[in-house]
Amino acid sequence: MKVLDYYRPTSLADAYETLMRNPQNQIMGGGAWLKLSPGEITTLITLDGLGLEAIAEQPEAVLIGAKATLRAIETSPLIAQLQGGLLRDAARHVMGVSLRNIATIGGSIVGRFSFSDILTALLAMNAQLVFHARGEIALADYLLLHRPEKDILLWIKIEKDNAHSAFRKVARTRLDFAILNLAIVKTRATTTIALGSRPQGPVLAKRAMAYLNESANLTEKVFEQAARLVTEELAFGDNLKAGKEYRRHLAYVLSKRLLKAVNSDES
Amino acid sequence: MKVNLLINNEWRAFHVEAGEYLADTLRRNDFLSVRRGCDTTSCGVCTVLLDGKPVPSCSILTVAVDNHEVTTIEGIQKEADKLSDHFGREGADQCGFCNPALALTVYAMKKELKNPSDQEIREYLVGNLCRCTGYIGQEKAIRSYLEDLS
Ligand SMILES: Cc1cc2nc3c(=O)[nH]c(=O)nc-3n(C[C@H](O)[C@H](O)[C@H](O)COP(=O)(O)OP(=O)(O)OC[C@H]3O[C@@H](n4cnc5c(N)ncnc54)[C@H](O)[C@@H]3O)c2cc1C
Repeated sequence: MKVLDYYRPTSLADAYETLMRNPQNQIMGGGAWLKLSPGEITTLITLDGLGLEAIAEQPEAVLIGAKATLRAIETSPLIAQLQGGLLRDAARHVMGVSLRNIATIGGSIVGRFSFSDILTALLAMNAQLVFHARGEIALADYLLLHRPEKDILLWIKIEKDNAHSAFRKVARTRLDFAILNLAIVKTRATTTIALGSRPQGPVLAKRAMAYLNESANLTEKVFEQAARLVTEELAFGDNLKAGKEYRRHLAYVLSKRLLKAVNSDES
Repeated sequence: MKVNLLINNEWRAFHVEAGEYLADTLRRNDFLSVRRGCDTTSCGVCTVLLDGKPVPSCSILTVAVDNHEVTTIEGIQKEADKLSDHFGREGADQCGFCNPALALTVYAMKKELKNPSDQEIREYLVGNLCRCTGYIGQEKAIRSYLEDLS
């Protein structure tokens, strides 16, 4: 990536106005992915100094600023408490500490990386996104947009449900992208299952979720059937990391294993 | 663009292009202990401390760290010497290319984590690749460095 100019706006309105002024202008999170991207940026706009690094508690939810780094998220006591610590567990799986000290949650969401561990966890947590112009939108809906309009992501809002959760990433090495990642959140009333890096991006396993949420007793047999539904309803594909049959098999085994975990005290 | 950096406790001013990365600014100004490796944040050899935290200097724009504190291995020379004694004793280094970055990361870890377990040490150092040692000697050396109160 080639950067021609760098701009530190004085307000969000200033940042947005600068962003919209030229199609070649872009917002910077930590810049780690932008560095790898091709092309030229006329003006790179930092969000430093606009208060978006915060992780704040509200009565019913936790608000995470788009500029919060993955390391800040991983080490935050608020995030450790949030829905069984799922987002912390996912953040821990991204590269090493030094990358996590610069990569932001905002960049992880707007980048919409199909391999993202963060998106899979946030999807299972039913995260809501707050954009400067668009306002609030559920992450699940945002991921369905074909080409979202340029905007500034400000906050990520996650409900403080009393939940058990589990996250797994399967990768060849600790520094590799996932062959598959999976996140499950279980509250008293519902189970939410998200899978990503299939290698397509994260999605909810809705049929498996409906089946679990309608089952009176959550037995081993029910977990097996739910895991089977996960493999039937979702598409899996091939890439350099793994083939689709292996991914499908992983999805079955991990779904079963994680469902057991969130329904016991292990998670 | 003009950028001020507090490097190893000394304020320095640099003129840089908007798109210049910190590793390049540092190397251009003779901080050659900051290595260039993969250039994609994956290998860890370009690690410096930014306000005390390990970061990949290959992927941070210099203009983005204006008025911040940067530490290279020269800034923690005493600790680095101590760590290198432990490395020597455990046979934990060979070509030395990754050593400055590793030492800075270990130094930051020591400040950040109290009594880290072996697993926590491994987790913290995941991003620092070493192609010579196989890591076992390093782990032993780091453990004895952390326990060394001298
Ligand atoms: C080598 C490498 C390996 C990685 N491996 C993994 C992995 O295994 N798992 C994983 O989950 N992630 C992985 N990541 C991705 C990483 O976690 C981050 O998601 C990624 O670096 C983007 O975050 P950033 O802060 O660097 O964003 P940037 O690079 O700054 O930005 C990325 C995109 O988001 C836009 N953007 C950033 N913030 C905002 C905002 N607030 N509003 C609007 N637009 C915004 C930018 O304009 C740009 O288009 C990896 C990244 C790298 C570089």
